[in-house]
Amino acid sequence: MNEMLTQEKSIYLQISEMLENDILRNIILEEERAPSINELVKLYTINPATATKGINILVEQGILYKKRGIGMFVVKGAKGKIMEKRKEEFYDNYIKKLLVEAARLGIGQDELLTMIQKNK
Amino acid sequence: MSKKSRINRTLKYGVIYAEKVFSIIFIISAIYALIYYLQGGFGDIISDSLMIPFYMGEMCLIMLFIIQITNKSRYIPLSISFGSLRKETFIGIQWINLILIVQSIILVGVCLIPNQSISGEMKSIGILIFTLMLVALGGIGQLIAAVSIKFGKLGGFLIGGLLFALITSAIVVLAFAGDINTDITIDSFPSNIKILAILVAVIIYIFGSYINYRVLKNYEVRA
Amino acid sequence: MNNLVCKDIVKKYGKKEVLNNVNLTLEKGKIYGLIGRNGAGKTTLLSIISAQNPATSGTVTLDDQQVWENQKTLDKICFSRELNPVMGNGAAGLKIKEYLKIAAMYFPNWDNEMAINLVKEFELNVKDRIVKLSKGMMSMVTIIVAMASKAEYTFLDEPVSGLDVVMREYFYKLLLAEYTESGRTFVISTHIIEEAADVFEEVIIISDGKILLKENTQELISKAFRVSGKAEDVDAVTLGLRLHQVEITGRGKGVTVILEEGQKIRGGFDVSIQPLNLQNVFLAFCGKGEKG
Repeated sequence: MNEMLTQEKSIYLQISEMLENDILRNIILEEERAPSINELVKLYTINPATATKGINILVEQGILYKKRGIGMFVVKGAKGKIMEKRKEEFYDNYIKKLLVEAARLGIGQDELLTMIQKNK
Repeated sequence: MSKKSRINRTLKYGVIYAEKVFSIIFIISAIYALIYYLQGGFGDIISDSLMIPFYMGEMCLIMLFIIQITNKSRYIPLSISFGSLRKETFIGIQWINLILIVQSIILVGVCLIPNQSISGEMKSIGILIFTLMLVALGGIGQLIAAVSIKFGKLGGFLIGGLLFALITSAIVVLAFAGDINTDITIDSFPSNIKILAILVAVIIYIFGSYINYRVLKNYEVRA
Repeated sequence: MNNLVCKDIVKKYGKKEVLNNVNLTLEKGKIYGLIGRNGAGKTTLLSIISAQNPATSGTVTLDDQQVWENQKTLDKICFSRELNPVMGNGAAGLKIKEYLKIAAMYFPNWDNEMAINLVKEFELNVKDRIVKLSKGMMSMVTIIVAMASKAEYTFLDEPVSGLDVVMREYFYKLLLAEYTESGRTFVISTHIIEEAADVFEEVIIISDGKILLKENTQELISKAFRVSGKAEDVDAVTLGLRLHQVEITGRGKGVTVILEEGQKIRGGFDVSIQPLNLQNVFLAFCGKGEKG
């Protein structure tokens, strides 16, 4: 949770992504407590409603769950779920776009493979 | 918070505000008193000259008038911008006037007591005239202040008002100067004139405060 | 219903119409941003909502009770106006501590400890005369009054004008901390849009005396995009959408679109689609050359 907010996309999306990143990097382990709404508000100077929205996305996706009276906790197996999700996003955001851009530049599949293997 | 306590709050500020201004009178008077004392004591001034009560009276009149005007730029906007009702601000103004008038009467009355140069009855007539002038001036002051809120011609009205106050005190001086050596009793003032004078002063006050009220009703705090 | 409702508010100064049929519902417990250009009517609106200014017509109610000349509702409202050298609100000649003392007399829930604390944090000297303060310090006094009033509905008009970036950040943190603790409703009008965007739960855009929109900030931003590329391609993907801030350079074209219910940007063309921030959204509605 040490990244800064950018202008590039909605704040609540950035919040949920940052939490996911922390889980992937083992900064917050499974079954450990995630930052509370108030902590997020203080850290990022954002409105509580926005912070709540970011957290709720992760709750809906089964990455966080709420322990009444205590706070938000990381679901067991969340890391795996996030990886899956990110892989799909990787395909959409990178692979698809890469193929479109390659087509535009006239780069064939063989040339692409060579390029990939060049980068050890 | 109950309605009562809010009125008290508006009033409290109004009174503090008025007393602050009134204390200026005391300070200036004290300075003058000091000057006189240093110039060789009071001598016969206290007992023989009407100068002190006149002086006090004139200052009270001017102060009362000026407060009506400064209300427009301090008391009223502060009160309303801090969430007070216009009705209560108006009531606050009336209380300020009442307190100032009563204090003025007491002040001048006290200054008149040691005076030996005129009779007791003359003194009471003097106090009566003074009271009526205070009341009338309160009304006129509110009227002028209200009009200047509505139409913004503060400068012109202020000067006109000050002149008026000066003229008023000049009239009082003349009135007393003319009667000082004559032994006029209260009976020689037909009661009709007295009642008429009281009525006129009261009507002026009511009229002035009514206009003030109407203007206050739609008062706007401007940035 | 814990709502502050403005119904059909019209405000005219002579023939000039400053507010035109303003209908607004403010729900309790949110931080609202009121943004608009100079002269759009922000201050007038806040003034009318707090009964410091009578509307020419229309009503303002809080919990279904009139706000005008009603002590019960006015006790819940605080409009801390911008202090400026002209001192329209009567503070001329007063020292800071006098001003605060008077405020303490009027606001039923005044928290004096908070006021003292904030004076310290802002490094103000209470003996200074308000007219002699810098613009930034005047803003600080305004903020202190607003915060310490502990009013349920608190309005601030351009509270950060004159504050440097460090103090602005401090203000946003202060606002959020107070909001988190007390759940008070805040309406903040501001010019400095982007900084404050993160802090506002909902944003109200006002232009030429009319409310253009009132929406959840994040949702609004998620609907705004900048589409750019070859002119024909841009036109193709934005067919039927309302375009703002149209720029044409040679064969290229750039437009801002703010998607409404059910609208989408078409695919299949080589165009750049960038998400936008609140400031760009505001410019799309109120920028020069835009019809508001």
